[in-house]
Amino acid sequence: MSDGQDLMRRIAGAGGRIDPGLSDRDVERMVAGARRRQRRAHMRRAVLAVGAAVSLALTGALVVFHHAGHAPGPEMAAAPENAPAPHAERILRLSDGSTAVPLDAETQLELLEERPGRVALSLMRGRARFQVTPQPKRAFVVHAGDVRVTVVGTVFTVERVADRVGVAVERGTVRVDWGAGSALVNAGQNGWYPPLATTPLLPHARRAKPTSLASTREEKGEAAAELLMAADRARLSGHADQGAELLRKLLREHPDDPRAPLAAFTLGRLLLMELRSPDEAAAAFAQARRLAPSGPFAEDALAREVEALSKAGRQADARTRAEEYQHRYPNGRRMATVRTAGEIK
Amino acid sequence: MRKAERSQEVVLRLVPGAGPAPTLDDVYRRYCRYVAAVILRLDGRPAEVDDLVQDVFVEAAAGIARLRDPEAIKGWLATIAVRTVRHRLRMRRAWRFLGLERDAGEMVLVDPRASPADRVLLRAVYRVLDEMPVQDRLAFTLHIIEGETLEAVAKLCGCSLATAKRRVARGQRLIEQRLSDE
Repeated sequence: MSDGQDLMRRIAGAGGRIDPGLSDRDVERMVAGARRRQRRAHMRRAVLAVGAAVSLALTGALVVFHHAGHAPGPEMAAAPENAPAPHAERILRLSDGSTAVPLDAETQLELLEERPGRVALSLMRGRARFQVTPQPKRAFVVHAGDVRVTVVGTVFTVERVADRVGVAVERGTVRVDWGAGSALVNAGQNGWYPPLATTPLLPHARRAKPTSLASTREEKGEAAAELLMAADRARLSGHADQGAELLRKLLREHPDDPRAPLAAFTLGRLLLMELRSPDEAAAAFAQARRLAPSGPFAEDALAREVEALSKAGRQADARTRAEEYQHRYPNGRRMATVRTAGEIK
Repeated sequence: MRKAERSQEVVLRLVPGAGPAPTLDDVYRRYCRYVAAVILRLDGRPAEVDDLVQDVFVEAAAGIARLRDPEAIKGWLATIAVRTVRHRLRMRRAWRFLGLERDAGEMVLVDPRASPADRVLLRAVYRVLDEMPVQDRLAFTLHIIEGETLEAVAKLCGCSLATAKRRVARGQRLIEQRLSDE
């Protein structure tokens, strides 16, 4: 027998010793875990199926985002496992059959205008799914803070997180423009815009020789951006635990990065809504507020912290945070949820 | 899959065509150890077995009602397991490229009765497997470690027999090369 064959024989023999050694308890744990994942997958399909049941003639559409600064907002994710089904009683139905479907309990959607040549809606917070009947001579506009979405006819979902906008296209093709670039998003695809690594290179521009400190800062910034991007990909591909790990790494290694508050808030949502770790979620939301006490996430982070503490069974802490929310944001948009979760009047 | 079968403690006795189709929970419980063993040998990371087994069963849930023959279920689950591990290995390579891979932790659970030489050999083999292209790794592991025929490897990997042979051969060459350097 040659040396190579002998090696393969030894590997085969040793390989026979590889065994996970599962106990009955391990088996039951995996069975229960598989059932939970199946339920989550079923719920996600059900959310999409509600929209698909509406009959539409769809064509490709042009979506132009006029990105004009930083706007606060929630984070794009696959439909969270505990997300409520679309709220049928709040669906906006237009005379041509177009619909705007709120996807969260807190989504606020308002019809601003409906004329033969123009329809305008405002997405003030949350997520909504739009099914637009194609009418070439009619502009259908969705205002989301400083972002404007203009469509002809397609099925897509828009969600806002801080200065980034998530787009998921179910049918048709969407073009996303963010000033420094653009992208085509086809049916079944999704993405966040503007992309994180989008430092535009100006042709012919002279670049000063970077100092070692500047280049270190730049490298760290790119690393943080890559971590956030990788976390987004992991989450959107259904690997919430890996997404959470990447966000924790970002917060450990780049606590001063401007993206850190967003990472902490995203981590909190992931832990609360997909990974069922309300204790850790509360800590993440608290961190988001510490990192940016006056930032775009502060109010939402405090409200979510109340919710997480309540779900963790820490009702006294939830109440304390709820009272803080009441004091800081007397006209806060999350007041109803905070009062319920914090059990205050 | 001969080695995975030997690791099973429960012998499945299903008479084809007799009685109702197995429920999902029946399948999960009966094949959990089998699927876990296959996954561990392909993936090499005990910490990921839980997650991957659950992924396999969720995917299997869609078509289980159409299957009655136990041999068909095992082969079918094995195909899903290979596909699931392939996806995970590719993601791991992408994260490694970005420098984001987590600490591997313990690699490969080995029977405590295995000799020290076997343990050292397997650690070395799985280090090389981590370097290998994913397709070659899967083909090599299925043929050499799982003991599958080349025809079965081709079927499980969704490729031609010739391609399966090439992948196994490349895997073997790399293992021989690396282990002879140690």
